[in-house]
Amino acid sequence: MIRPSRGHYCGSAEHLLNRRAFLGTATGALLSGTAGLNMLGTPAIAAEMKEDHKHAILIFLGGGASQFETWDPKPGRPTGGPFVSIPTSVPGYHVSELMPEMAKRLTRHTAVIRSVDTGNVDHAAGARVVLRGSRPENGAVKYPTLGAMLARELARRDSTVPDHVALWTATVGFPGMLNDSPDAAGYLGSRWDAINILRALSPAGNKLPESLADLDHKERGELRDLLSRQFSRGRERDATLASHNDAYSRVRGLMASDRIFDISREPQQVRDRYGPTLFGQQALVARRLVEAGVPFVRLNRGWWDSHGENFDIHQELVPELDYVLSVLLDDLEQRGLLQDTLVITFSEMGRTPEINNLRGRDHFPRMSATLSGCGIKPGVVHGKTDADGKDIAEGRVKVPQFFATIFQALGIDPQKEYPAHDGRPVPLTDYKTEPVAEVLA
Amino acid sequence: MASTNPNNAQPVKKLALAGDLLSVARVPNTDRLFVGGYDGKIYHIDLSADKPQPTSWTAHLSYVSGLVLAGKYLVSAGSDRKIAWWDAATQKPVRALENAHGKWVRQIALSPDGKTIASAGDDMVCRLWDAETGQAVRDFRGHPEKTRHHFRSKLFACAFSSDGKLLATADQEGRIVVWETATGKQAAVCEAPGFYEWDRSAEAGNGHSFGGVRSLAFSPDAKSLAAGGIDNHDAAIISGTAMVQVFDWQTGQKTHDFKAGGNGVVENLRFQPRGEWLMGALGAGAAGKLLFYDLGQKKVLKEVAAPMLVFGVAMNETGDVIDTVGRGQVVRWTLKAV
Repeated sequence: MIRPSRGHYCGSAEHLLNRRAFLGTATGALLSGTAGLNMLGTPAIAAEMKEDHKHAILIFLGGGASQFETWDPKPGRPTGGPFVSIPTSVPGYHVSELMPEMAKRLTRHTAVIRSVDTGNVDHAAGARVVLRGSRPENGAVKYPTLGAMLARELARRDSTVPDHVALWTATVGFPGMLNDSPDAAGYLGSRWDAINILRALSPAGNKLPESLADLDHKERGELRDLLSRQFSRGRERDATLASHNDAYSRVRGLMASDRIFDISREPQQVRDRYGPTLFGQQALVARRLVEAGVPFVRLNRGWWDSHGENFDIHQELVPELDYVLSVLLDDLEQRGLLQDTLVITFSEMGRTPEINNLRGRDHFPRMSATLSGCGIKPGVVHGKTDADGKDIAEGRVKVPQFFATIFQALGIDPQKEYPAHDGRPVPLTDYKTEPVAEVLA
Repeated sequence: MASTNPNNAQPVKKLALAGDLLSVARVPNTDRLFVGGYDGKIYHIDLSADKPQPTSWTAHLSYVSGLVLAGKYLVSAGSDRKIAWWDAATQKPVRALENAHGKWVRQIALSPDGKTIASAGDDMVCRLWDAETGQAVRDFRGHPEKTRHHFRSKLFACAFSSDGKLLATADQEGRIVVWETATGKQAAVCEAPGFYEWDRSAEAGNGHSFGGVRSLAFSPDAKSLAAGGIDNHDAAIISGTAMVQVFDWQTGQKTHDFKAGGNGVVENLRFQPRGEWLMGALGAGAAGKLLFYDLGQKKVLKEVAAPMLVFGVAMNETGDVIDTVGRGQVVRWTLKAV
């Protein structure tokens, strides 16, 4: 179901709200008083949040995964490298031998796009552009990332869990991530920015201070609720007050959400299934978050930059991706979550056909991407590159189209408008951008 | 002065051939070579011709990573997991073991008596084959299948001692195992962790490894074992210096540590037949080179620039003719005074 475009301004207070300020200030307020809550704005956002429960997990292959060693192998060609290809469940379509698990699952879960034109060969700056659907930053409009847009669109009205979580196996290549964030929410407002978890499984700083026991914390919360209810009588239409209460419940939810990050609560069999690597464990966290209602999780699996020994590096990283992605999809399916969860993989760029003197592949503005689960027609392989993978031969997909496809798969109008900082309407993807209909269910 | 003098090293014949040439076997007492390519082809080249005209046939689905001549047979190994026997005279197929290994066959080596072939694969097994019949003789297992960081390891190299009684294998983490060829028992383990890199320089982490021992060679007296690779510092690129370490394998003690020759991976090692020097050939990296090491003096005797990255090496019986193959070229070198 596509939601209609919204042609009006939804309210601006949330645009002023910084996500980290929200957490820090509101958590502090919860513990010490109510100072600072007047910045939390109106609950207008909540009224527009979705009632249905769709989710997205982006597996972002930072550094640039090679399409040749994954979804678009060219064995025996001068550009092909050492690996052979293997047949998949899609007749006639082969993937790298490094992906035996996903090869079996394509017709169950996944569509592949082999012809994404990134228009980009840079890591940090490129990631900022690509993660915004290839809309360049400029002074007037700060575009939000895919994660912020999907968090905003998919957030649940009654949610007490985070809306946007990004877990990182590595931050190399994104040195400015925290300050110049590829997760910045732009004109949507920092309310939709990510909680970043760096090389760990849970966020730092969302625990109670040691001086405050759980019981004390709970009793303070109950006292506050009692006082709040008394104060609210006769003030039911006070938006600011409602927002304060909403913020408190969200902060309390965030603080209580420690358990949803805690994979030790999973049976050992499930933990073993995801494997011992940080990426595997973060994928299990992602599944737990989605299961708990988090609308958008980004797994940043880096670092794929393989200017030297491309084949050895991909011989490590691709089997891990193949394994973890297949386990994640199976787990989501078995829990009945996959039909409402879109799992996306892409990089900021692909890698060159030419194999350089370091036995590496360099940066290349063509890549492969995958979409699995919610709204996707599995087993579709869209687009084609030429015999040596030097350019796209059929079905070129620009990044805005890819983003439009993601939105459409999740039931979001790709041209739904939001107000920019100056108030003018800006669509999620540029006007007249067509999704790749072939991969949509 | 050594009877084969590295100071004389110079190319005497060059042949351009498109693409990466990964392995080479020399027909004894002739100027004929078999060369394995990136494209799954084996090229037959007679360097005695003024303008050699290579002929070729398709032998593998992808890289031909190893070639040896065992009597009348040419035996090839590939990244497609296959080991194949060919009639060296007619180049007709004799037999093919399609799944000789579970993964990429990185190297093969011929025993000095020519009766057995060892193959090292990324399934972390070294296999011994009867060179005549193709029958599997013995498996050598003991290298960990996974690295300490939980990723699949790789078994890059294997080499026989000159008497054939020992077989050495080496993996990604720098573990070198010396085996008794006849029994399959481990005779010794040498640790060379300097060849393995895990996020050493990247504060934020790359999340993958880099490196490994890429080449091995026993000294002619079988007392020393040389290991080649690179002392790398960045897991995203080849940024380090070519490295060769030599071990007294019986004690596991490292006796030599050469970091010389600039940026490159020592992918082939050969001892001069009388042990007068050790030669390392640099493959992937800034530039192909031949490095000649004097183990007695613990110094580099000679560093010679090659016209291409060097991926495969064959040396004649006396150590004064060296054939190298690599990126786009076949080059014959002489160490005789010209």
